[in-house]
Amino acid sequence: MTTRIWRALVGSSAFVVLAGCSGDSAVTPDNPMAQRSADAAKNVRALAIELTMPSRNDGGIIFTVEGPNIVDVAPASRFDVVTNGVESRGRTTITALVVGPLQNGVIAWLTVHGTNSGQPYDVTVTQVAASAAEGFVQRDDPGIYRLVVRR
Amino acid sequence: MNTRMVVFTAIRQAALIACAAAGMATLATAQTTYGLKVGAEGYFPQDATSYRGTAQVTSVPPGIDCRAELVGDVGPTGACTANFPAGTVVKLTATPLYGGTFAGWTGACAGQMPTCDVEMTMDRETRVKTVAKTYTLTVRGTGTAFGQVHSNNFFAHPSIACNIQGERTWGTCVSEVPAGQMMWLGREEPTNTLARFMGWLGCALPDDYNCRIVMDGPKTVGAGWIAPEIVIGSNGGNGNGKVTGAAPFGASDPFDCTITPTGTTGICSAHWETGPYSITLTATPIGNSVFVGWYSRWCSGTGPCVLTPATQLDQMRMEIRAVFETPTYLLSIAPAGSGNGKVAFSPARPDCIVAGGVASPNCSTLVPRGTPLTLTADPTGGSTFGGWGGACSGNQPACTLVMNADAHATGRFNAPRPASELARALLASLTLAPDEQYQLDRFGNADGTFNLGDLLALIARTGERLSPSTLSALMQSQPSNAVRRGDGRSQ
Repeated sequence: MTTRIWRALVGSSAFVVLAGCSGDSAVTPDNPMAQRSADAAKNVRALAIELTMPSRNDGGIIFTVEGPNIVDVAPASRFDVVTNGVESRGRTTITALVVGPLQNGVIAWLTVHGTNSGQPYDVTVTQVAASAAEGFVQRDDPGIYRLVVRR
Repeated sequence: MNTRMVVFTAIRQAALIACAAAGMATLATAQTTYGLKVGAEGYFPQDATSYRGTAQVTSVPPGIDCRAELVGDVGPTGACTANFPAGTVVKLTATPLYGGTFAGWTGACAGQMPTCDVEMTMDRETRVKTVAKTYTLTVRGTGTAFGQVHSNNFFAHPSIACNIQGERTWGTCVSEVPAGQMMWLGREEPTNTLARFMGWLGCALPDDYNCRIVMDGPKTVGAGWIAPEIVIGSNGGNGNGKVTGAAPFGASDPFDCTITPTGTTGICSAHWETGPYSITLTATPIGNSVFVGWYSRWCSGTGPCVLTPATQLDQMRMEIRAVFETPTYLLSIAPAGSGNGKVAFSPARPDCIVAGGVASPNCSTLVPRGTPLTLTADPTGGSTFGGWGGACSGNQPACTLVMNADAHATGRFNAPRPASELARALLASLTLAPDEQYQLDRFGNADGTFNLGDLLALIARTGERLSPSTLSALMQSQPSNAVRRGDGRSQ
């Protein structure tokens, strides 16, 4: 996917998401970005993405979170995050790569539009790798790691 | 008869008588002396180990003072003959010279005493018999070649007939020689010899051909010949090769000389003793070397080196140098890209270091012709290898060249990608080339696949953190939330 296509896709997705979440303001064709920024500042809340499966000597994880009105995945303290999001049919799928010393607890924050925060979110772990203590080996079965989204 | 006639007759008879008396008296006076002759006894053939010596024989009354010896055809010298009045008793005394021993008289004298009385009642002759003291004459050899030393034929006995080959001698090389005798030794060598006579050693009166020596004690005479020596050497070339050739006439082993940059081994020298045959030396390079040529005053060029007797002999040592060289070619490696890495060589030589796209001096190196050389690119510091160009090709780190000409290769070392870019690749928003994935995995967890573990390894190695420049595209529309680090900082 080229950068140009990527930006076009993400930009339009964000527009759709934010437009769908806006109940009290209209998006005008003349200034859509300004309208989105104004809406984004309202009704956004953070949900905790919490690792519940015991982890030891793990240094990074890649997971996918899917659901409506997802704005972003932000890192918790001591973690770095890179994300990639896709919008399709009103649902957003964000793949997040979190780097840091994984332990049970919150590793990232899922920011969503507040009006839809009560809806369920699916989280799937796709990769987990060990830290330097175990030579950065790739964990064979990432499915045993469990991430939950808590309000 | 008248009176005058009688007187005349009487006077005449008286005169005749007087004349007869006078004649008798004259005859009696001529027979009062006799000759005495002194000589030396000849060889004693019955005793080959004894040699006639020399004695000085004197007489009383004086008259004999004779050096009694037989020197070839010369014979005794001095006053060896004298006349003595008849009836005289002459006392002869023999005194041996040069340490000899008196052994008796023969002839007019007899007995074993060195004095002898000879009564001169007639002409007499006597010979003195002296046994000589002897000294050992030894002929020794030197040099390298063959020759002969013999005693000149002035004397039938004793004789020297000695064969010499270097320090080896055979034949009659040792002889007992009467004390005081002068020995004449001569030299002789084969007519076709190339050897030179080195001269006499221990000789009191030498010339080019003869040695005269007085045996006043044990003597050792040295003689020798030296043949020209052909010596094969190298002239400092860095190549390898062989020089071969048939053995010179008189030498046992053919030339079989191996020349390396460090010296020579094998049969690399021989003495050339006898002509008229020529010697042909042939140079053959070994391996990747080439024969550059002969380096000597006798041969030049690259063809066979033919030595004939006429081509030398003004020097006894003929150094024939054969020069073998192994050409070298320049291998230069130029970096492309701005990354870091090194290129290792096999066979080993100092690594070519590439730092920030700049090559170290070791990236240009001279390689002997024909040398297979394997170059292995090894990116460092998170860089990746982007493939070869020039003399090498492909994306695999190893490249093998055979240096038969100058070669120039380009090695691309790509600068490390930011960790966030690799993260994007893991999130499927960026595609990495398979070679790059291979190298990232190689320097990561090396499990055969580029994955999260490789990214963590890179981050740990470089100390880099994920850059906010890789914020999700979703955040491009929400810059106020562009916080990607969990350290409380807003990006």
